[in-house]
Amino acid sequence: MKLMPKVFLPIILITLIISVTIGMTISTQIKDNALERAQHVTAEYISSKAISELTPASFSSEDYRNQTDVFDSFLEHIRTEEVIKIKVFNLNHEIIYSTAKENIGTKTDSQNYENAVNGKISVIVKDPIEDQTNIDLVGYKQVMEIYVPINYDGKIEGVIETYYRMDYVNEVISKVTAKVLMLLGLFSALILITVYLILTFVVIKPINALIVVADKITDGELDTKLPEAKSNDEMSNLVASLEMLVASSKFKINVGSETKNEAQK
Amino acid sequence: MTKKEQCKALMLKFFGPATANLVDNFMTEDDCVSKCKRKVTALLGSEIAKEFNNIM
Repeated sequence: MKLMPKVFLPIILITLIISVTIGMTISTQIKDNALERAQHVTAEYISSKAISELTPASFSSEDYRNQTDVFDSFLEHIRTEEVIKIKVFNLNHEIIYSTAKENIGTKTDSQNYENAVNGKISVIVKDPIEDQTNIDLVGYKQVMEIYVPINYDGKIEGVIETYYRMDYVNEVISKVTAKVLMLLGLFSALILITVYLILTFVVIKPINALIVVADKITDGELDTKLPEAKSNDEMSNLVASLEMLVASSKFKINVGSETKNEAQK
Repeated sequence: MTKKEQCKALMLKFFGPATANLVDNFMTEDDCVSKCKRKVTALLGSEIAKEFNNIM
């Protein structure tokens, strides 16, 4: 194997491994940051809207079936491209409002609900829907369910589970990730081209020039001009060694001829 | 003239510019005489290497 592929192939491999690792780390980080931001902003939005448009009684009323209109109206106020539906829980684990009316009155044992009741925003990201018919049916590819504790004067009165449509966020994440990966790819290519040029001009070309000279010398052309050696690098050291060997060979040839001449006399 | 300059001049005379450059870049004032003498002895013989004895 020649010197260039011997040196360059490991460099390509290392660059690829580093690029893929960096790319995966960055894309994961972008996704995590985008999701965290979406959760935070949505939770803030839902919480502030609930505090201004609902009352503690909306959550604690025993007769929660009569609150349906209140929550319907609330949902209409908060509905956006991303916030598509909600479920409301009281502190007794009961669903007191849901866009799927048949769920109202049922109880939940969800850990996310428990977390929210204890004041912690809790999130579950559902697996994306793959089948187009189902996507058309529900109107989204992927949702994130955000359990938002609703807090009045330091007291949690209920939990609103918000269904956040992730399609737009996913689209943005994909676009940003693609751009980052493209830049990373360009950067890697630039590094590889630079390394290739440096190897060619600093190592391979001088070595090839030296090989040509050494080849001529071994063919008996002892007066072959050696490459210039002005710097203090390894190549100059090698040229100097070759120069000394040539001088030594010339010297020995001369001494040999003189001895031969003297012997003939 | 320093020892290095004298060594350089002799190496230029015996071998050529690349070897003179070697003295400049890879040898010190203290070790240049012994290193050069060793090389010249090995490659050109001890008689020629005696020229290094005159370096002060």
